[in-house]
Amino acid sequence: MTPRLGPRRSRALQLHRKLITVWSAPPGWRGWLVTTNNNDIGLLFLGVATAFFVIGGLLAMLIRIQLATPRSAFMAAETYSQIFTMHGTVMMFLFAIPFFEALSILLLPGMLGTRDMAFPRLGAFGVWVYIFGGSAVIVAMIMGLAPDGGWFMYPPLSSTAFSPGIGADVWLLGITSIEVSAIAAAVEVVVTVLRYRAAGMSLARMPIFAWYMLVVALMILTAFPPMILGSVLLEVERALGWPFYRVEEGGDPLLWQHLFWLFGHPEVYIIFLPAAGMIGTILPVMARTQILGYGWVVAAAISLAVLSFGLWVHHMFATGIPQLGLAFFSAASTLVAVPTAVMVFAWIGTLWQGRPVMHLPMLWILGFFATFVIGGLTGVMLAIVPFDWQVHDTHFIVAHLHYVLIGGYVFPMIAAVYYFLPLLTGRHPQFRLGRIAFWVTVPAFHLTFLAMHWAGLLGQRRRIATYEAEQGWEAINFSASIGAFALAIGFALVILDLGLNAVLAPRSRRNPWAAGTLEWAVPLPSPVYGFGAIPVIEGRAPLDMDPALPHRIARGEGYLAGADRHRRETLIVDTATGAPAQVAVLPGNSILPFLLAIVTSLSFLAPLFGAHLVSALALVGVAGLAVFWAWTSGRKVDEGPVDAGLGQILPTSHEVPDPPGWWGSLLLLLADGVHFGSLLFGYAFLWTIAPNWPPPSWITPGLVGPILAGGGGLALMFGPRRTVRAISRSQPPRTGLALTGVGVLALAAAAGWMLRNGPDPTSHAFGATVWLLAGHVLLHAVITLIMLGFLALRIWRGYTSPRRNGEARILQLWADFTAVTGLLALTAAWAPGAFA
Amino acid sequence: MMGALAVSLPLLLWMIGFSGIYGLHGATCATGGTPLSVGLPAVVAVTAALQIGLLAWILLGAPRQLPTFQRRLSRTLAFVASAATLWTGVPVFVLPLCA
Repeated sequence: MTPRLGPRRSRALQLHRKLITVWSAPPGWRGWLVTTNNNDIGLLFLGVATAFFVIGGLLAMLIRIQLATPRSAFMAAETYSQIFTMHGTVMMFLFAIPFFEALSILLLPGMLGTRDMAFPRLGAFGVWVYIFGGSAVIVAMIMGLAPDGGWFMYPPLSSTAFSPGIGADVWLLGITSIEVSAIAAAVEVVVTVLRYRAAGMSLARMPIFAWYMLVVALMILTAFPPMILGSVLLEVERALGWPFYRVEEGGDPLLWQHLFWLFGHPEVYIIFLPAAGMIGTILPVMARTQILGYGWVVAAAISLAVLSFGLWVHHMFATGIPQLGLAFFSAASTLVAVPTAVMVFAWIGTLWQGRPVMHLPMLWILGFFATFVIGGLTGVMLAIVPFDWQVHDTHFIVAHLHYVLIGGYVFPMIAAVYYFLPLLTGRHPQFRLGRIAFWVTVPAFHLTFLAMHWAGLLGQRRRIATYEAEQGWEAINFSASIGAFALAIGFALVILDLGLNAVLAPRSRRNPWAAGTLEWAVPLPSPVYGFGAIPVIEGRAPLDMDPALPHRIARGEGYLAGADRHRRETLIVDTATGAPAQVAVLPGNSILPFLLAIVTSLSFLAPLFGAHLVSALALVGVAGLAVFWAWTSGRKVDEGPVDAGLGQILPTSHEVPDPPGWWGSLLLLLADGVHFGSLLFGYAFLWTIAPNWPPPSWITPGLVGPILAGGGGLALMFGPRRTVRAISRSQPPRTGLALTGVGVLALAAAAGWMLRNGPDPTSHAFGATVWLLAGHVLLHAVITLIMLGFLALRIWRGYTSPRRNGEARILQLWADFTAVTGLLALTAAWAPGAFA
Repeated sequence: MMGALAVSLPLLLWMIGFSGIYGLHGATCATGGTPLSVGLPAVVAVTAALQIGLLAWILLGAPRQLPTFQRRLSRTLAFVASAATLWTGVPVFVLPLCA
């Protein structure tokens, strides 16, 4: 006999069934290929990142076997170089960044009170690119084709002269493709945090982790582009002989160091801040209180993020920079200790005011405190130039960075996985194995890396495969190796314990930790749709304020209850106040992200095997699929404002001037702008610092090029505006479209004109830079032309109207960017010749 | 818009000033020092003056209509940026230019 449900429970069940139908992926392996839901994508991301962590850990064990004894014959020096390069590369690029991105994709929608990320297909694309790019790097290593120049690949060591073969290319192309994935995730995170939240969730009410991830995602958008540019320059130098880093032809290897560390130092905080966000989330719950100094912590996170962009040269203290230059960066390096300390004291204060309970996540957080503070203090030591000179490139540096990255990142992330395990699996961790793992891991970590500090202070160089017995480092290294193996056993026990708990632990009740944030308002494990209705909140800890809220959400008390329009919908709010503003219509399951990731990865990886034609064809495939992707969004008719529930009528995201795609484009252009700025910085750096400048000759602009560029730029800025105006007034947009087309062609012609009489790109870095600047203009002209053609087709097929003019406004953004950066690029190339 | 400006401008200004000082320092030393050497203290002084002006605007001026949280956040960040500008600018006045 079927048990009878009360009317409220029955209503909740009806909503659940409707939502599951709309939000689920097909069952089986096909479902994994087409799913775009954040729960699936996040889990896939998390699983793959963990697999890479295991691979990176195994490589670390090989390093420690080699160093355990003096004059070790365990592996040849060449193999050792590949192993330590791959250990660093795997841990930094394939584990650390993707792991927190995975947790963000999994958890942010729940914390923010929304149903999914802003761009579900982009998230799926990012994860597949990451899987293909990362796997290619690992396969290359297994085939003995791994890079061996260290994880930061300094030229000239990584140039073709000293790194022949494809090892360095594997690194450059594989890692760049993974950075594309990181930028995709960052765009998604920023738009989600700024616009996709529960009603009433103002900035002041946002969960602390959302603040941290907003800051981190903006950092990714501004820190990764210099690194991408550096990789492009190095790959172009290796493949085509354009001498960006070759001194004799006007290049400078220090340019690589600048571009790399412009990324590399913020990268440390990009990794640390999500962990700090997790601590800020978990610690108050474990201490049964609210976080102390919420506003101070937010201010500290923002300050740390911005200040971290002023530290990159502290990795270059030994490169012969003038004292004054060193002093700027030494001062900035000591400065970042202040916001970090603000966070640490806020956490200590939170513990002090609360009543902490020693659940397993709390143990790992205490492990973080004990370790990270030491890593932070050795960081301040390294900010002092004379000390840095003493320990530069020794094991002291290796020990310091592991204290920061394992203590400051891995330990809090383990705490986070234990804490959120009920949300992911529906089961509550309960085995003692987790505690044993903790007590193995943390002491083993300190044994390993305290010993390594000592070895470094005694002068042991990093990246050297062996050492002599008479140097007196045997006991230290042997202890470090013993510690490292115990550490590996500890991490293996953690993974085993998590696996056992995920499968065998008892089912968890809702909100098992009695947390106050929204992600715990859902049934466990979290359903694919997240919330039965989008809640209205009135504080930072809505579940503390209203313990019945989860049941009310399940019954559909809130916005967009159920799925009456049989499509995936969630709420878009005003950024500052959290007031409901739009109804977002999200895409459903799609194979497009998977296919686009295949062709994108192919375009990156085919050149490794000399298959340049395949790469070119793959690029055409990327453009074709991207156009088809965009085509599948939008509507042919005006729907008008829709009922969002609670008596509110809101426009859909298809019928507003700033649709999510507009925000996404804006952020992508931010990254693109930083990339372009880095290119100008590189040009200025070579011009002022590199030897063998000026070049044999400058290029003279003449009249035709500047006239084409100026006229084209103006038309390119004016045309899209006229198009938007015409669409908004239901007038034919032909003039605007034509003007845009003429503008972009004129700008491209100006770049072509410049190259017609341009210098040989292989003879001097100036010539190479001019070609790269022209390449920037031409690439963006092609993108703008494709977008223009797309918009014209959409207008012709009825996809635009005065309400639906968002696509034209997106074209306007891209056209403005193309015009402004195009004019700047051409001016930069012509200016020296004009004034010479 | 006002909120976004008040929160982001102070540290953005520090970043621009810091980059300007570093870039000008490189250019100064690359060109032999003297013609641009007065520029460095001037850039630090101008950045510091702008920071203090911005701080005054945030403390006394336009962002007063912002919600409390954003107002406090922008004030804190303006203090941080001012301190950072002074702290990272001090070496210009005490160290030789291109030694």
